[in-house]
Amino acid sequence: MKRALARALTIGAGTTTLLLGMVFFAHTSTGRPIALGLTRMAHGGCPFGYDKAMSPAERERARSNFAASHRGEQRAANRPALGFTLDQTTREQVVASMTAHGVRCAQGMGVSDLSCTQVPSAALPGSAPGAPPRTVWFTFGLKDQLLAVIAVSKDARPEPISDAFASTRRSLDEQAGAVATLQGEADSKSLAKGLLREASAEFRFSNYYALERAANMGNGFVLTEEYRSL
Amino acid sequence: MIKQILAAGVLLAAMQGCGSDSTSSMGAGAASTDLGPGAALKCTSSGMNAWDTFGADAFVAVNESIFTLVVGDTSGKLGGAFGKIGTGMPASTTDDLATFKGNLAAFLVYAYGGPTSIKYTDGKTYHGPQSMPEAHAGLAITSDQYDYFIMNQVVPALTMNGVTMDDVSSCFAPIVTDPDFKASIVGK
Repeated sequence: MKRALARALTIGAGTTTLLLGMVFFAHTSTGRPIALGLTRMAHGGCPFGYDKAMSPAERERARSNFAASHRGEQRAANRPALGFTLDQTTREQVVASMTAHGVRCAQGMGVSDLSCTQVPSAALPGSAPGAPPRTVWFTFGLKDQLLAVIAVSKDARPEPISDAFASTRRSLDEQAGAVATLQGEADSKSLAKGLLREASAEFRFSNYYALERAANMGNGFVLTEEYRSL
Repeated sequence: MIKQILAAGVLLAAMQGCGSDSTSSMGAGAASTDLGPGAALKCTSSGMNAWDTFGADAFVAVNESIFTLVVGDTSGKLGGAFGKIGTGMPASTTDDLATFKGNLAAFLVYAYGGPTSIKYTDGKTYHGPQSMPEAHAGLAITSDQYDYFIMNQVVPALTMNGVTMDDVSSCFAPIVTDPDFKASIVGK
């Protein structure tokens, strides 16, 4: 009886010590991120997180993968990219240009590695005049050269988004070449017809890819633009 | 040294968790009286909700299309949240794709009027009712990234599988454009 009691007390004391040790460890600098990861894992999430920026080599590889499935046959006459020059403009030049227009930029995530918000048309010489301010993502390669420019703009009314869609479409047609695929109707009445009504124009060339898409997101109308070097 | 050993041990446990945290379940196609928020929506084409209109095969096809488009996307608009899934960088992200697929499929089925759990094409069972804030905790998804995902991955996945724009608007869109739903994902 005494031996059983002593054994139970030993196990209890050992367990308590172990639990206290785990709690203490979870509050150390080493244990905190591990505890957070385990908590996220317990909630169904992956503890690694996916919020790390990709390296330039990974971004170049992602570009190659994208080009393999999106490349057209003809070369683009020109490669418009909201006033920047694909494969030539550097990160330093983009930051300087944005700063000159009072635009704030920050480190991006995933493939994109520079994110600028509330960018006015005046800061993007190749963009449709009068378009709503954009959030713009820039992606750079191994030599810090511009690989892609991607923009999102939003307005409460369908007309500015519809107009920007039409203007961008015209500009791409004139500068790069004929559109490859058109889907949906981008006039303001069609977009306003219902939730998630969309229209898109895709341009595929051997050295260039562009895509614009307008949609009714319920609480506003959104235009996305993508300009990529292939 | 002790730190490295502890970190390696937890890393191994975490990798295991990433690949298998959805396998415990209440069984394939378990019947339930719980209904998702889209169960009451009516598709223009049928007058029924999306699950009753399109069925399991269509939901699998749409789910697969979403992931094809996500993995093919290199825009970075999705941030890191999807950016590395399926790239194999790090290697664990390759395995995660199956779990992400199963979880998203189960969520879509449940949200649009189907059962609360499904057995997906990998043979594993996944639960539909999921906490969006918990599932997106720490990902810092922005409003623009969310809009991009819906516009450039979800809607094209629906239309390329034969869902008309009328049905997109009537029996799919009200859930994903709902401000409260969006708020449960953005900024977490």
